[in-house]
Formats: sequence, C-alpha cells, structure tokens
Amino acid sequence: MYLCIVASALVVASLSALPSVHAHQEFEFGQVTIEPGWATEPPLVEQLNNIEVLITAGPNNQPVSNAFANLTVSIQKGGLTKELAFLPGEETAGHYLAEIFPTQVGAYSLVFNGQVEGETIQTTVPIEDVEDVGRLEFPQSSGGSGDQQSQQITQQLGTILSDLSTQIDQTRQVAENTANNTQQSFQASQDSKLAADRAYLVGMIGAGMGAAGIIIAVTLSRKNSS
Amino acid sequence: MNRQSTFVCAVLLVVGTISIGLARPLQLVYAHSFSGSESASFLSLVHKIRVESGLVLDNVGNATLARQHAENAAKAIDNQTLDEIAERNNRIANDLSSLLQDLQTAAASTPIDAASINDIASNLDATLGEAVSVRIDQEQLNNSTVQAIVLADVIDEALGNYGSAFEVGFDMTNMSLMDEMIQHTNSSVGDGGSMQGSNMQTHDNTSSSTAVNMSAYQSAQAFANKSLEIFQNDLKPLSPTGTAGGNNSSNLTAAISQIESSLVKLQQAINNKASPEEIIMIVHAEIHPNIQIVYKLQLLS
Repeated sequence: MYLCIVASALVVASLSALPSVHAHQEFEFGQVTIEPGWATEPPLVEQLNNIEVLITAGPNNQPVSNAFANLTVSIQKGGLTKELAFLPGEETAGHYLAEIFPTQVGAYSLVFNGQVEGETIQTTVPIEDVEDVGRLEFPQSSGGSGDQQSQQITQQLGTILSDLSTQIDQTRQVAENTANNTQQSFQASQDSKLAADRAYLVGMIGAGMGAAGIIIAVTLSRKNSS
Repeated sequence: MNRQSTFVCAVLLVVGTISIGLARPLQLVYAHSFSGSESASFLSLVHKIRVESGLVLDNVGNATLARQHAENAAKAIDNQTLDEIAERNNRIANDLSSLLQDLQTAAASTPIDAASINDIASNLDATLGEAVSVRIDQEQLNNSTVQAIVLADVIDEALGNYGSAFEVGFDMTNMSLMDEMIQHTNSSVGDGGSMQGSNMQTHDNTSSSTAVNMSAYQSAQAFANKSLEIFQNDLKPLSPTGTAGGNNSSNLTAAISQIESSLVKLQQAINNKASPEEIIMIVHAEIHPNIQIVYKLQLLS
C-alpha cells in the first residue's frame, strides 16, 4: 500500500516537474498592472539573476514610483519561500529588481501581498522555470551529450526527490498527529471504561451489602418473634 | 572575629550600593546634539523636504509663502547628497533634482496651479521613498537609535524655525542657554531683575506674540507635527520593552509615554505661540532626557 502511494506520488511529481514556460505575463488589479518575471531569460540554475517587476497604474499605464512601500513579494519553490528585497530600477520608474541566485532547477512562483495605489494585491503568480546550464554550456564542462543528459536527469530526479521527501515529511507529520489523536481517544475510552467498571463494582458492593442487611434483619426479626 | 568581619563587609557593601544609587541621579545631563549617523541625517533631510513640499501645497493661495517653502525644500538637499544617491541610482537622483526644480517653478508661477503642485508633491514624496530604499538599509530603518536621532533632528528643525519666526536673537537649539534660563528664573523670583548682558531676550508667556517670519512659523508648526508622527509611526514601535541600561520596564514605559505627551505639548505650545523659553524647556528638559533614557543616545554637546 505504502509503495503504491510512493509510486503515485513519484508519477505526479514527475509530471509536475516537466518544464513549463511562463514569459512575462501581465496581471491586473483594478487600475494597477503588474508584470513580473526573470530579468535574464532563460533563468539558469546557479547563475545570479534578478526578479523584475514592472508596475503601472491608471488608464495611461503610468509607472508607479515607490510601489513597494506597502507591498511585499516572496519567491516560492516547493514549500520554501524567501522574501525578496526589491530596489527601484535605474532605467525607468515603475521598474523594480531583486537579486536572486536560484540553486535548483524547476518551477518557481512569486507571492504578492500588500497594496499599490490603494489596490489590494494578494496573489501567487508562476514565473519561468529555472533550467539547467547544460543547454548553453560550451565547451561542455564534462563528457558528451550522454553524460550531460544523465546529469540533467540526475538533477531533475534530485529535485523531484527533494520535493517528494518534503511531501513525505508533511504526510508523516499528519500521520503522527493522527496517531497521537487516536492514542488520546483510546486513552479517554480506557479511562471511561475503568470508571464504569469502578462504578459497577461499587454498585455491586452496595447491592450485596443491602441484601446482607435484609437477610440480617429478617433473621433478627424471626429470632425476636420466636 | 569572623562574624564581625563579615558583618562589617556586609555593611560596607550596602553603604557602597546606596551611595552609588544616590550619586547616579546627580549626574544629570541635558541633551541637545546627539551623535548622528549618515542614515539618520539622510532620513532627517527626507522629512525636511516632505514637510516643506507639503507646506507649498498648503499655501497655494499665498504665492510668497509657497515660493519660500519651495525654496526651503530645494535648499535642503545639496549636490553631495545628490551624488551619493546617484551612486546607488542615477535616475532617482536626477528625478529628485528635477522635481525640486519643478516645485520651485510651479510655486513661482502666477496664478499657482494647485493640481500641478499636488502632482509634483506626490511624485516628490514617492521619489523620496525610493531614495530612502536605495540609500538606507532596512536594518538601519528598523534601528531605534537611528530613528531617535531623526526625531531629535526634526525637533531641532522645529526649534530653529520657531526662533527665526519670532527673531528670538539666540539659538534655541543651544542647550547651554537652558542653564542661563534657569538661573534667570531664579534671580527674577528673588529680585525681579532681568538678564542684563545676555543675548537672550525674555518673552511673555502669553499667546499675543506675532510671528515676524510667517514661513518659518509654519515650518515650526509642521516640524512639530512631523515629530509626533515620526515618534508614533517610526520610533515608538521600535522602543525597547524589557530592561535596558539599568532601567526597569516600568521606567521605560513611563519615559516613552512622557516623550509622547511632551511632543503633544510642544505642538500645542507652538500653535499657541508660547514663549521661546517655554518651548526650550519642553524640548531640553522633557523630550531630550527621556529620549536619552529610552534610546541610549550619546551626547555631543
């Protein structure tokens, strides 16, 4: 049963690990438009990059200065998040950059939370997947294409296993909590049973003493009458 | 013998402890200038520009005052500071410079276009926010000592402008004048004399004074308002809660509460055009000592 669950999880994780492409997309929140993405695309693993966000507002899409006064953005990978420190860009107003050094290939997303120009922004948006450097390496850092492919597969499997182990940990935690709860319920029922047994015993003793009393009374009354 | 020597030692220890306790309160030091940091100076400058640009907006119906405040805003920042901003972000330095120029131009135009001034002030506020984000680390922004120095600087701005507004003839931010004032008050009580030879003039404790320089008076009012805003929004949330520097929790709470009530008092005193002596006493005898207690600022003079 456990093996089936692990196998299913592996299949699901493998499917979700397939690379998906997200170019810079626009997201609208009332009058405010945000356009997040990687500054350098494709984003490559272990290469310094920036998350960039273009924020505009109003009918003429005017750039919003100091947009991060009441807005926070975190980058998310699996169950891990890190708050990004955005700074205004040099080129134009409304353009913000936050340095990031992606250490794993795979899917990343940005979590927005706050307000810009009075509009509430609470959303999670996907950004382009981080890829392995192998596709752009020249000359190849080691071996031929076969080695490179196996290296890619190893890295992807590593990512999958890492995500999977996190999920297993979470499941284990849930199972432990459930076991604890069951144990507590069992303990409570045991306590109730013990209390019921005690009550039964006391009841029986009482009944016995009552019966003995009646017998003694009857015996004494007979003696008196005789 | 052993018992006797132990007893003597214990008595000496108790006496010593009490003596130290008694001696410490005698070392009263009134604050005036706190040792600063570049971050605090920059934040104070940002507050100054925001206050003055806000006053331009408040005075769109009075060209002279609007122009004066626009000039004050522009004068607050020098080329060296702009260069420092440019090192981090050239666009922000350029935007800041041109917005301050635009503010002066808009304030000098007749009639003054309120909508235009509003746009410029709003953009200036946002650009100053960006300048802070590139120039000051988050750690420094969340540092209570830095924010306490900023508060002291902004209060000094209120004092300086109040002095100019009523042409008091002395530097209201100068701490040493308070001692003179105390001596004067004592001698006045005794012989009714006045401060002959002193550069400090006495003022009535009534609100009948007329500001000689209305622009400076408005600035003094706005800086007093900004002081309370800085304390409540930026500094109070960073205040220490436990024991700090030998002060217990209740002492700290009392000092924090005292700072806030004194800042309100300062606001009211400036609005009521109280005497410069009264204003100085609020700042130097109530606000500064409590800032020292809570935020452990070092004295410069």
